Amino acid sequence: MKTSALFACLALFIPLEMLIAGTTKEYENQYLQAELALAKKNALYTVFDLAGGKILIKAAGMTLREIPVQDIGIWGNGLKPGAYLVIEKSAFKEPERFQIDPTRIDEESPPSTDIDALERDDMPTRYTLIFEDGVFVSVTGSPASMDERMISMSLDALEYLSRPLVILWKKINGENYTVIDLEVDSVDSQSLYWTITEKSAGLFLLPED
Amino acid sequence: MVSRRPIFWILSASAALLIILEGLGIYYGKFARTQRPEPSTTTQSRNIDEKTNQALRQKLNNFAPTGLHIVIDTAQNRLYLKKGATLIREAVISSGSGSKLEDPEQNREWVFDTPRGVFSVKSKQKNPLWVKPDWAYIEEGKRPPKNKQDRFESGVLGDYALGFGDGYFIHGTLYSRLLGRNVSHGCVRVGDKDLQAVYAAAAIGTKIYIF
Repeated sequence: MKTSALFACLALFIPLEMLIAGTTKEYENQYLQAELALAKKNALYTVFDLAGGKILIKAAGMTLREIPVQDIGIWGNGLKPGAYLVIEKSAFKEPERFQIDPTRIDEESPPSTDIDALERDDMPTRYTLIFEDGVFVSVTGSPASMDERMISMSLDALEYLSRPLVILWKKINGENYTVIDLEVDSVDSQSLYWTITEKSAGLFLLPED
Repeated sequence: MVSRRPIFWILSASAALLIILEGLGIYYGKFARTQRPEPSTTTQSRNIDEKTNQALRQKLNNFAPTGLHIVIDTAQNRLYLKKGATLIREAVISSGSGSKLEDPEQNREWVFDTPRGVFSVKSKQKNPLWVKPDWAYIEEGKRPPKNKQDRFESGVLGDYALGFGDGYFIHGTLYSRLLGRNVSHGCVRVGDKDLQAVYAAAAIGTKIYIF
């Protein structure tokens, strides 16, 4: 009984898997082939260049926007070099589209600057991009005020305490689970939420060992 | 009962230590950009791999346009007229409002987003006439006319319009004070002078990248 309990304890400390599936030229090769396939399509895709510390919004191989990453954290059991599709964008308060009410339209007067529209500033600064195959990208905008900093630190602490248990639970159930924490500028964080759409593809370029 | 106590303590301590270690980001890794070593390319096999990768990178770079093209950032409401990597002109625009409109009579719905992806200029028009689509009437609480001739409206789209497919245009606006805001029905509204420059520079087939 005691022996089995000891083994169970030790098992907790055995690295579940190397956190990164591969950081070699081979990984890069597969990554480049995956990007080449995406570049042939006329759709936007996102490259999370964790090696270079930046997020690239790309189309047809061309970088349209580069977002610098201030801090990177990687948790979980590895990533493949291929493309992952965004399944969902999850935020505490998700932006909602306005429903146009035709009875409120006044043809005679031009529209005021107080407009009912979804704009970048309406986007959240803290959210999770849920990709297929158990890949989660948690994006946090740098907190501006002390209040925001306190809330951010509390949420970070909660995540840091709960995540190991989730990793363990997923491992026991044989599910993939990788979380990438990214801290970016607040406005960049909103721009990223705006730009990345569901079903769009993401690629991950990992840091070297 | 007494014999179970050490097991309980070992398990608790192990779990606590695991949480602390992982909580600190040590266990699964936390990367600081400054701590990453430079990639090694010393061995022969790595050189071969590097050559292959370089060829792939070159293929990827070949996709990027070297000629004139238009890049539209809908988050920042900016249009960039570029030649290769050189910026020729930057313009403030208005892109889609993201609002929704329903037609309860015919059970239709429109979402006024500017489409994203890679497009090309398909048509160029001077003094364009706007053929008002159904949604424009429904938005005003009116019934769409059956006769197409009744849908023409002049002056709304400005002096020029560049069509990029599915009824979307880069065109002018009567509400230039709203440039920089997301107020359009999906088209890209541009100020008069910038529109003139874009119209003069872009030819049919010029690529448009919208994100």
